[in-house]
Amino acid sequence: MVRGLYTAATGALVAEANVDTIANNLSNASTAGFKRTLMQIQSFPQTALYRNQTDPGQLPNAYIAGVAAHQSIGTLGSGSYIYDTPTQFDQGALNQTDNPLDIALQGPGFLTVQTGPNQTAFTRAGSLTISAQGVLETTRGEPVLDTQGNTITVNPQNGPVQIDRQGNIVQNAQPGSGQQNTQIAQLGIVEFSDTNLLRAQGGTNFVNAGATASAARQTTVTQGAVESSNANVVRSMVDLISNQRWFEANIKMVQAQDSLTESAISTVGRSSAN
Amino acid sequence: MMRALYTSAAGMEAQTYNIDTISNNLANVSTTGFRKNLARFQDQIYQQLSAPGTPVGAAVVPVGQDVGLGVKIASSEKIFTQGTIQETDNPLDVAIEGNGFFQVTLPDGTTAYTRDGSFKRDATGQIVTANGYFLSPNITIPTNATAVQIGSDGTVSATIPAQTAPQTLGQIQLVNFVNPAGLAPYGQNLYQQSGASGAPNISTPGLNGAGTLQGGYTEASNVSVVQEIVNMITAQRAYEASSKGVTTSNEMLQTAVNMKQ
Repeated sequence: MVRGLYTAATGALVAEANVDTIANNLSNASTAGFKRTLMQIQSFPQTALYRNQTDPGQLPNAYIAGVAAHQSIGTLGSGSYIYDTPTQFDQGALNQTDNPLDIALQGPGFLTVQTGPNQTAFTRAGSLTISAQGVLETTRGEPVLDTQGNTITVNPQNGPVQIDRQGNIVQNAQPGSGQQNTQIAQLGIVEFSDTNLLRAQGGTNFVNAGATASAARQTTVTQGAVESSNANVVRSMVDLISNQRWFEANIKMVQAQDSLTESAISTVGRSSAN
Repeated sequence: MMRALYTSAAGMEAQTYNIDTISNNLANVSTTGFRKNLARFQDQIYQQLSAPGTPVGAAVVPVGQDVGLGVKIASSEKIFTQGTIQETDNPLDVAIEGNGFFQVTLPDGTTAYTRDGSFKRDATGQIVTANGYFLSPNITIPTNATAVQIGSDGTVSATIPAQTAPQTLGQIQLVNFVNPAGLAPYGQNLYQQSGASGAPNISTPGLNGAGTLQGGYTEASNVSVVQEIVNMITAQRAYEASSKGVTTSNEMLQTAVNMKQ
């Protein structure tokens, strides 16, 4: 009786948590560089059920050697739970902004940013700005690192900034100034062996938790565009409908268990004094 | 949950992609040399509930039971039909009548191909595209030339003062591909060779299946606004129809859940 109640409740709780994830993905449908999360659900370990039995015709306390006292009759499930919340790294759509400091990555690579002394994170959000000290950083204020792991300094007075497909930052000299184009740095774009080993730190930053990083080979940089969120509105709405009906079905189950318990108490357990 | 929910979602996503393609075509109605894209779809795998031909006693079952699982995008191909030739009276504008691409060299040394023949002269007299990429093989127009003509076979000649006959400067070459739809679009009206397009086949305009050139004309985009609007109407109604699949599945699930009062 009560066991079934908790089983149904786990289903309802998982459906509720699923809806929370979908709500987060939908609220970030316009966030540049956002990667949506999924929830992966597994069933709880099953409880083994046994039946006490002896040979038919024998008294229960007259066990005969070789005859099984406990007969296994199978298992009983006890609900579901969320065991992982993986991030989906599929490519988001490119949004052309014509802002020379906006970059979008196409491919599996990430930009490297510095989040603290000797701490790096990885991101796809490429809306870059130049700080008052001339350091190239993201909109969160974290400096972007180059292939050597150093921060990048740009002086906007020296001319317009051009970033090519491999991430090389070149500053074009003003026409007529007589200066050459200068290569400033190459953006440190890394690709990972297994993106499942990246841990999310906020929706757009990721921290490496065990994957092997390598220099970018399949990733190109597009200047003047930003990668929008990969949250899929249609899919999210369908998952929302699916989870809502799942939640309702589980709640009906809880109600059914409740009414059975009530019958047991009020009908079966009625004493003659009532 | 019901398969119909996810199948309808796949249908809506496919029509979204269709609208994206159509919008790009419409946005490029005025782009010189633009080739329109066409989105094509395929059905997804089928879940087999019962295979056809299963033996039943001495006979076999004549038909099976399958449930389809939606639609997916098969390809988004460039359609290489000829665009209208428009007169511009700019002597360096060239239009290709027939097959073939112009060859340009990108700043990093790689070659790209284009149908956009609106060429300009740079400060040293070399023929460049509007983005400053050099025509390949490059042709330089002398700075003292008073007029430039481009013949239908690609010969570029210039009138130099104090010379009666025009001076031949070079010949524009056209490039043919076995599978032009397999070229990778680069943006900026450029295409690059890919593994699917085949090797570039350079030839003189008018020979080996390459088209002829018309100086003073440009080739317009091959997008037909009427056709794209009709496709857009179809895509929107298909999107609505799939969304009805989603709402119907929702109501059916609601009915199922409400069976328990």
